[in-house]
Amino acid sequence: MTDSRNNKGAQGHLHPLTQIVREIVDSFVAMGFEVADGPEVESEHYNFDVLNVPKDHPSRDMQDTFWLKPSEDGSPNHSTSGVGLKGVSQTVLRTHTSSVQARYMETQKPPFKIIVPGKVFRCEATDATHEAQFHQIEGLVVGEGISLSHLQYTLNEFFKRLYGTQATIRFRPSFFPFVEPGVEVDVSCVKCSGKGCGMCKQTGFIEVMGAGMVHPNVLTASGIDPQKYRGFAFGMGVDRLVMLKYGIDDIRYLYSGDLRLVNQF
Amino acid sequence: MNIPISYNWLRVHFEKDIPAPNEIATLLTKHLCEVEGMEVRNDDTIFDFKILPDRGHDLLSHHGIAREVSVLSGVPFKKIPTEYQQSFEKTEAILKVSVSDAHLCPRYMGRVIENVGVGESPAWLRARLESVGQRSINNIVDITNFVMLELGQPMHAFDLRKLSGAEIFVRKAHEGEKMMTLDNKDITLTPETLVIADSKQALAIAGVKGGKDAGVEAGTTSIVFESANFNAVSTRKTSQRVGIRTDSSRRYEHGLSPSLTEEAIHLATKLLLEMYPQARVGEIVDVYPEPQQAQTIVITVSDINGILGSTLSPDEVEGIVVRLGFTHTRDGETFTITPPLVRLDLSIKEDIAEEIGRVYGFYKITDAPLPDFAFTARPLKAYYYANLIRDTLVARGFSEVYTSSFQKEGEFAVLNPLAEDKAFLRKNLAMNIEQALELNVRNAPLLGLDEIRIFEIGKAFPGVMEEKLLCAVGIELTKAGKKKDTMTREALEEVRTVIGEVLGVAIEGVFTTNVFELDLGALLDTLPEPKVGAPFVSVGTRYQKISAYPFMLRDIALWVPEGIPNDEVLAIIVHEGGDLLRTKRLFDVFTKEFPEGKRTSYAFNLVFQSYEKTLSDEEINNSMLRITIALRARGWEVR
Repeated sequence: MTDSRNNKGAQGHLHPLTQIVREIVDSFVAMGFEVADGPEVESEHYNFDVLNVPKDHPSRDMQDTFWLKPSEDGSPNHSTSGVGLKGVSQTVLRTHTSSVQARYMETQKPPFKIIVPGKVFRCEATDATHEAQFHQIEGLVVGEGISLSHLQYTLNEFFKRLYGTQATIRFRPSFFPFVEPGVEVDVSCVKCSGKGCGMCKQTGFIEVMGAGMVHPNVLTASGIDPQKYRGFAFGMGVDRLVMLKYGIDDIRYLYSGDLRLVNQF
Repeated sequence: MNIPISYNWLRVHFEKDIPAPNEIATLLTKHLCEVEGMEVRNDDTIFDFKILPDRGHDLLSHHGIAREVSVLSGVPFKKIPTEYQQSFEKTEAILKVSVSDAHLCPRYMGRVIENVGVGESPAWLRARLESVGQRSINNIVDITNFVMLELGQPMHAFDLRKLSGAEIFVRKAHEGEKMMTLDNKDITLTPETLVIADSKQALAIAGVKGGKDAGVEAGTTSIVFESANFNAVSTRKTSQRVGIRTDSSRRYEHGLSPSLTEEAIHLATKLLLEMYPQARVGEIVDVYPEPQQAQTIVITVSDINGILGSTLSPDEVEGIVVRLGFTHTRDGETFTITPPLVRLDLSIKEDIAEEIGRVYGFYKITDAPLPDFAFTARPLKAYYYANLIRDTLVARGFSEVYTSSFQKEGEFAVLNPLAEDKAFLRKNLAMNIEQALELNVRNAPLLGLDEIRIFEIGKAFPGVMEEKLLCAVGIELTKAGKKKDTMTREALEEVRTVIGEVLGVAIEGVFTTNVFELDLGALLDTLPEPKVGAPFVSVGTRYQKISAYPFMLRDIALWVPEGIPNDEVLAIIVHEGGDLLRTKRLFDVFTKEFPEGKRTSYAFNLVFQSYEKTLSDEEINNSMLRITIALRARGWEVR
């Protein structure tokens, strides 16, 4: 669909990240999902504790997570004893959009289906394929009798909307503290449709997201009875999809404010 | 953590043939973990397996992987034998072990072995180690390394002669205590660090690295084998503190079952006896105050099928449980399962469901449509209005940029910044937009632009614990001459007006020479709930291939009650128009008073085009009919 204003010289350009986020969010909204969001500055409580990430898990280390100085005198807020005061002291830049899960679950009663786009942060040196900031989209469905079959159906529907009716997905074993079972989701290669090519390293599939059944500890921590309800969650990196789709070779261009990138879209 | 695994080494665990290396890779990819590499070396194949973090307990070993190959391929597994003679001449030294902190060292096993020597390893042992990239050191050290690679249990050997007495103390280091590592690094220890010591000094950093003073070397004739369990978190922190990461510390970091130490010390003893049949083997000293308790998990077949969405029968479930080697009892469809002690990852029903699903094959799961939920999605204001502003600005020639959330100055500091110029969170977007204008002005000729017009919508952090959703618009008129500042301000004022018109409210904001910034988050509170959440199609900005067939034009005009935005009408037109509707444009709007109230008239140009053929009037009339019916269904009058 082209808008006529595109034909005028004065038309500006929408950032490719916005475009892909819209495509993805629109697909889920069409399936009845609600868009939700949450803060980028997040408490240790929502980013880690309620997501069943152990107190001493390495992902909480300063090598992986940006910690913030919330007090005026600049005193460190990262205590190794980790007293996770909710939304107050132990403050991080959220490392995933999964932090919105508990925020939503605490205030809403199941059943629900949400999709959460947002910027996230990891403390890692930047290069062509790594940025300290990037975008994720998280999905969460909680209701009675939800199973991995429902997750697979939902993701199949989504990828068919995104990549066309020939797209298929497959699950592989994986591990994330906030889901059990946990799976890695591969989608049939958009370039060769599963036959094998350079883009998919001859495997016919591309790894696109992590997913699984919401861990009962996560439901319990958010006040939802895991005996009654089950849910599934999934999360995907948006930047990589953008880079794959358009053949962008350096992730840093996406956050440089550079029209040499943006004006190609 | 990745681990190199030798195919030939795996084969030692089977009497029958196992599947070929590429079949093993496929099997494990589907059922266990990623295979990140496969390399043929001599007559062997070396796999690079990426072991999932929750299986570091038991799979960083050839034994563990061979168990999985057996479970998944059905070829019976055979343990490497660890039996040896049990009567020995009495050792001269009698080992004593005292552990000061059972939390940091849940189990310590040690034994003295005398009348041995240090020399080259036999060829088979050197070959095994070298096949997975380990350098052979000497026979004793090689045995400890072999045991670790086979069973996943790190071991250590001390030269008994160098110890001050045959007593081992597992204790925290004294403040300022020093130790030289086997590779000649001087380490000053801190009291959080757990060490293995004799009565005088630290001999090893527990679970991380041995010390030079008690190392095995040429001339060693009696040793102490250590097979111990150390706390995962404390080992990781110690390893970080002293800056030494080893194959041993990496394994302890995952948390190991204390049950592993026994098998390990027996295997090491057996291998040493093969080299020195005359060795005097001392009693095993085992300090294990709180033995690990087995987990018992009760699960029904309905639970499993409910979680997986599968239709497994009780017999199928039992078959998988048996293949996994789990002790179990079955009562109808209820299973009571006791996983082996090494499987520290299994403690709740969902863990068992995952295990069953993994062996069965997640790829065999079939689709099931979501149940018809009683759930109505509400549009999210922030998402809706941010995207409305994006479309508005793009339509007026502005390009959207994303810039870094980090800045060299600000109000809200990062505790562990990546660099000095990224020490703060951005306090506004204006500063970033100024910088982006500068960058793009330099590239203006390349971009073919006389005016740089950009905007960003994103979070900024104006104070400690403050987070705001802002929108900043920047303009740089490179050819404007003397009146540049005035013209820029006028253009920015126009942006403010346009956004105000689209949102239907007056817009406040902050102007600098080149930038207008508004607090979108605060504005949202004053805006009405949007009626629709989506779609915000990526209109006009994606590459579209050009059709060789002619396009055809139609117009449509309609009356709607006042207050219905044109986007709502367009969404219906777009939906009904389908793929053939290439372009749409609102060309006329006016509002008029009617007896029943005010109504707004919208008129749109629609352009239809196919990629495959020249469209007939009939086809387009059908599209227009669908659009008209859908619009009338809303009670709107199509004119």
